Amino acid sequence: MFKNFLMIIFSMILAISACGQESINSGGDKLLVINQFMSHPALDAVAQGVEEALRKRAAKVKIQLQNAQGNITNTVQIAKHQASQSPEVIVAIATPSVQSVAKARTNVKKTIIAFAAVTDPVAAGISKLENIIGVVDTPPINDLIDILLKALPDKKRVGIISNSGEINSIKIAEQFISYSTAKGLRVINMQISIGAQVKAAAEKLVSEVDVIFIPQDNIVVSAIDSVIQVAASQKVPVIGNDPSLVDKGLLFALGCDYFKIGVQLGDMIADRLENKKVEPNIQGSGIKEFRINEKMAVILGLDSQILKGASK
Amino acid sequence: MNILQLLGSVEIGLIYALVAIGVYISYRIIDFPDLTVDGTFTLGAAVASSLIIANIDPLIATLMSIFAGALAGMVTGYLNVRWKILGLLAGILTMTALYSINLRVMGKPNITIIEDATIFGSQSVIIVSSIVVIIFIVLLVRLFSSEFGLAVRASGINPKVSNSYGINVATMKLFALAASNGIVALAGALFAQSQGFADISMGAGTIIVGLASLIIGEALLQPKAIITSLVACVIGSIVYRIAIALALNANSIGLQASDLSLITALLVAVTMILPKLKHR
Amino acid sequence: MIELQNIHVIFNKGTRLENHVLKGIDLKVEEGEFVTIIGGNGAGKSTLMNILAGDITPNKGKINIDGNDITKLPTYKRANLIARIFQDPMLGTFADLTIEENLSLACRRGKSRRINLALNSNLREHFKSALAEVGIGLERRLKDKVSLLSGGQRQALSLVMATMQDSKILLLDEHTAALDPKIAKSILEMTAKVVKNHKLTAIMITHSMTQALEYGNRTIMMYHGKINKDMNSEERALLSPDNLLKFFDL
Repeated sequence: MFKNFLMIIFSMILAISACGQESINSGGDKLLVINQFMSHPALDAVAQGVEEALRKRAAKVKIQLQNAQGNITNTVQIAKHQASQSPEVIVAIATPSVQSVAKARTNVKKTIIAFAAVTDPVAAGISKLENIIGVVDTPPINDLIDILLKALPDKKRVGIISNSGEINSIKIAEQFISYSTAKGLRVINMQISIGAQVKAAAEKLVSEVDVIFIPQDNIVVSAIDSVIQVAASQKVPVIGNDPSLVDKGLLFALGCDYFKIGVQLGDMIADRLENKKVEPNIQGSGIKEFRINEKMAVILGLDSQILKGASK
Repeated sequence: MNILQLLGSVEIGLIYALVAIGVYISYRIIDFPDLTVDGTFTLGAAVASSLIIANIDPLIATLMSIFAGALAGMVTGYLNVRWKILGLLAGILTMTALYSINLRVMGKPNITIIEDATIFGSQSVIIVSSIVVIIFIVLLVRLFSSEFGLAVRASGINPKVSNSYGINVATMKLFALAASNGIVALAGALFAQSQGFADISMGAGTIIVGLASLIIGEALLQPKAIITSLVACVIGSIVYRIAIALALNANSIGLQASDLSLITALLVAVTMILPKLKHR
Repeated sequence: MIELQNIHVIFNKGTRLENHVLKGIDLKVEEGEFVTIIGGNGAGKSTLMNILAGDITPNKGKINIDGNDITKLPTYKRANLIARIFQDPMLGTFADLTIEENLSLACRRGKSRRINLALNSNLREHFKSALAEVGIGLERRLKDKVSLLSGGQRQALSLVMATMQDSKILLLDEHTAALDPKIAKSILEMTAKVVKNHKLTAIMITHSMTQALEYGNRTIMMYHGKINKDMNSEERALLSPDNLLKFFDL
């Protein structure tokens, strides 16, 4: 009885997928597939930026996006699936995606790999690949620290809550510590590995530091409300390198504008599709975005004009 | 679905067949729901990758990863038999500890071995994985046909009577957990080498995938003997991956890769509930 | 020879539920004896069996088998000396395994489990003749799973399993209590025959006074944790079940 049940389900899936087959050559459009590692404001912004740029350039592409929901095996299977459709371009958003896409690509000459939201392509093992373009996001940590020194000169002790399981988080924290220590600040780094530890880390830090810095990463960001709440109750400002979090209560943030990074990548892709050379094939992104939360400034008793002035 | 997609599914399915076999040993043979595997899969990848980066021969690196996995399994076993911690909890404890251990082994959350020599060399992943799977099936069939293997099976079926027949049930459990986790670690090592990287999050959900594959295989093959059960693990794993590939094809009805977790959970739940309904 | 010296068992010692189940049991069982044990509920019969099997450790006292002290040995370590048939036929064998697999497991009771194959044609022949002894056709069903067998068939199988390997004592734990009367009787007959043929030393717990007197060659009565009557064949011959009732608290 159960075997029949399974057979029915199977046939249904087969039938559905049969009608689901996309025809690649509809109107001569080229196939562009996006392999996004997970849902996250920054990664979402990259995808939007790419699509916006391609639209502005009137690129003749058919776009398909797949989201792996943060699961490595899904990323791999999506990469293989997309590669088998023999697309012109595979856009990989985040490090595990580009690693899987690099392995899955079958036609190196034909398929362009375009990546973004990867902080260290060398460590990811993809910098020397053939037929690859990408935008590396170098978070402007040093600039952020300079702004901090100008805007809040009396705050000398900084606390960081970072995620030991995310390479971006570790690198940003390291960079923050080295530059700020050189500038005479004292830094305490609390490393966590799961969301439940974030609040406790914040509670410990508020009694020992004057400012808290949140690097851009998934786990800490997922618990950001608890950090803001704990910090605000002790009048401790929270700053970060992800501008999209300012609305949640960061006092200010200076970071990569991921939408603009997506646009930059989209332009690079459009160039390649028009058979123009793209040099260098892996570029940095100089575009920065600075945002202030005025309400938070009021709560903390700070003058937002001074803060704005610090970013000049 | 084209032939490339099918081969891609088979490739992942064969490596994960080892996960299904590992889960079969713990869940079916000794009736122990072992969550350690979420950590052991990554452990295998971490150990193999780190050793390969350190220029150790990939075959030795892979063997070391099996050994590491076996140790992890024995830790869970020890917590359960010596300290009487519930199996489910013992597995969770070891898995949680392994997160930190894996980070230490790798040094960072993501390491790449894309330019290093792997156990696959220039051979096709499918062929090498098939050989590994066949070797382990043959070994396990022989093991469970032996006096020792029969005793392991007995201790999972009826611990009290096993005791009265002189079987040290605790030792049997430790052995089964070591074997199970060693095989899952092997899967992790093979996965990392086939993909060129190891990531700290790659083990999340391993137990569910293993159970889903096991259950699909059993539903399809209705196995009565050990060898058919093991083959069912392989078939189930490949069918599961094909089902995912089909779901990925079904973009037109709005099915997303993100829905896969829900579908997997439903599949496992339904397959577990159906036999109970039959018995009513 | 099996010897119990001053065995005391106290459950939940030191709490309000403290229960002194065995209050100083002294018992000697010679080789070849077939002892039946009878007693009311709470007399301590099952506890006595569990002490011998190793499932419970006594608070005080010693157990010797042929002069060796086995008191502290866990069940699986004394399995080479002790064979046991459980009360619940559904739980006393390995239901998911086949008859021949069950017998193979029984063969290695108390012996090391090696990497050799558990089954071969020689063993199968041995199993067939052993099963033929109880004469219910199981020898033709070696590859059937035990879950297909009825309660009576499983107890018969348990009997054969008990003889697959030498033992110093066979423990029969009310092994017919869960069977219906006709089957129970045939299992008891079978038991008597097997014990006689293999010259086994056996202890049988039973609730039935008729059974207690009809089988074996010695009967022990337990009452509130003590042995209050120990009768050999001559004394038993003089008794009827009604007489036995007098010694009960009814």
